[in-house]
Amino acid sequence: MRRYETILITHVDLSEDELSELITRYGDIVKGQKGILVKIERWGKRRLAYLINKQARGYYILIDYAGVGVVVDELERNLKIDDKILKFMTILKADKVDPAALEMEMADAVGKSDKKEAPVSAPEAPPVAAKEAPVSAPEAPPVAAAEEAVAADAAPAEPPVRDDITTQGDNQQ
Amino acid sequence: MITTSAPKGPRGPRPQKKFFHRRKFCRFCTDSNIKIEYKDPQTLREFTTERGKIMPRRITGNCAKHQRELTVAIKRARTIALLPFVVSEG
Repeated sequence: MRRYETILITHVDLSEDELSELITRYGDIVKGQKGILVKIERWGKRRLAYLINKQARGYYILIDYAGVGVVVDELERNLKIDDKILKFMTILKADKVDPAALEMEMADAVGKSDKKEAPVSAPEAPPVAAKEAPVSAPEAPPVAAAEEAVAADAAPAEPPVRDDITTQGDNQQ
Repeated sequence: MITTSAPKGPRGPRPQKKFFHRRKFCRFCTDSNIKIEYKDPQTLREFTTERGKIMPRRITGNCAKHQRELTVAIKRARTIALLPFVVSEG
């Protein structure tokens, strides 16, 4: 089993519904091919460094998953067909992945996101919750750097993305 | 004048050919916190010219290993439009 990462750039003018539908669809494709979906990150709208299909801006989505080559084939086949996708790129991150270790990592990630979502669900203690969030955020990079490069790259990019997700009120996992 | 000759006196005249030479070092070797990562165009941008070309090792002072990683990262970032292939304006 290998660990892959696919970045897609979609049109900026997609509505929120279309975006979440698109994300769940590609998540399902990964799962349908017996791949393990680790996470889907939304980077949000960004300026492109050069024009793609005459578009100067794009919405970035990152899909992190593990599986065999068939998963990538199927995902890329679908991406090619979809005309909402401006461009995509798949990266091989690790050659051998232990599914058990991956489950652990995913459980950790879920635990962290629960902590961050706590302030939303518990409005009685906003100051405490607000204090907790920044504490947990700086903690993440050093730990991740020590343990694994993969987690480290995700950590700096996470806070803005996570905020984005919570405000939009949908959870991809 | 007296003031100009005073500092020159103890050290003697400076040798003409001695220009300032700074030791180059690999930033990624000295600081393990910086990760070479195609998703971080801000860092990668420091290793490209204004035109968008990858800076050579003789200028940045990177070690061979990190320069290789950096090159791959910059090329990946270009593929996904985080970095430009070429900056033609200006």
